[in-house]
Amino acid sequence: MVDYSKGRSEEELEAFYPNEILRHTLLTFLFISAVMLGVMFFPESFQKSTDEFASFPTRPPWFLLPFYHCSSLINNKIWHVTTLAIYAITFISIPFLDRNSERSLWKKPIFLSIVIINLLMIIVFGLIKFHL
Amino acid sequence: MSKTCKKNKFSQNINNWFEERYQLEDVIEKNLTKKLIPKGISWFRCMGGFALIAFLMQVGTGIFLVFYYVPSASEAFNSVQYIRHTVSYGWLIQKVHAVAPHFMVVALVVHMIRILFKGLYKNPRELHWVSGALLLVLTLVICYTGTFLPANSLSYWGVSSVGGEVAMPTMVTDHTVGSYHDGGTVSNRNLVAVYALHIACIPIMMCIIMGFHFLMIRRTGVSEPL
Repeated sequence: MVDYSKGRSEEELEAFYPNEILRHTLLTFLFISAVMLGVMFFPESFQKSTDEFASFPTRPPWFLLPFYHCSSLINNKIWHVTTLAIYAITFISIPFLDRNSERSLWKKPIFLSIVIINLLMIIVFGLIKFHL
Repeated sequence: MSKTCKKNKFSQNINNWFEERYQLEDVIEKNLTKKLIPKGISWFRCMGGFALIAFLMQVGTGIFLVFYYVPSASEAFNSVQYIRHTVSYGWLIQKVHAVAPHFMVVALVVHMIRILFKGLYKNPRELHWVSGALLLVLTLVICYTGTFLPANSLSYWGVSSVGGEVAMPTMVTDHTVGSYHDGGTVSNRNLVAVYALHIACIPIMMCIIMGFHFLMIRRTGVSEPL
């Protein structure tokens, strides 16, 4: 296991327990509180599939909307799944595709533009599906 | 001898019993009480931890839901309604199970974007990214399969209103047990197939990849700030 104390002075280090544990515990409680607030205020669309007089539109979770929109653009089931699979594999393989020794994305204009275009595309797809 | 003294002696005996056999004190000291970490670690590094908490919440509430949910096309909706309206605190458990994935996806996306923009996936942490990205993909897939299970309007919408040609579980199950959306009704066999993916296959894969992810973080440590 990694030893953080190697090559560092005492001033650069702090105790994992209780400092970091306390921070994590606080954040855990904050997160659980946020979920509970979500439980109280999140609008829920739970209605029977056969309900012809549904009072609200049926919409998938926001994070699936871009993929649903992609499916309306590509009508073939095989092509749709293949496209998503290629997209996922490319995303997973980023460390092997980005061979530049520079770490910060801000200093790699081509890679930065590819990332921003993809992020914007996902957001726009989601928004389009949301309003359709 | 006072009650407190007896209690202390009892806990000391238990402690000694474990210490003799497993030498836990050394492990605890090395990994917790005497462990030192670099100062000034950003609070944003907790995003992965948030996703883990959300996953654990999903597992906890999911185990509860498994006891009451009926994976049958005709009974699924009613069983969820039973959980929501009849079982004590069932509404809370079901709602947490429905809402926590939104937080989990946000935490994962923020975590991945931070790593992407800071280039923290560089040598020697390439596999950290690979396992993390796989976890994000699996999270989306598990959320997707989850939307089919209550057999509510959203489940039908997923397979019908977009043309019936989109569902990945449909594609998987088409080749194994037939179509999910079978002549206007949800087919039982496919609901069970999607259910198996949702409660067993994907969570087990996620647990294995998560274990691998955490083990690698322990081996290489957190990255240096830029």
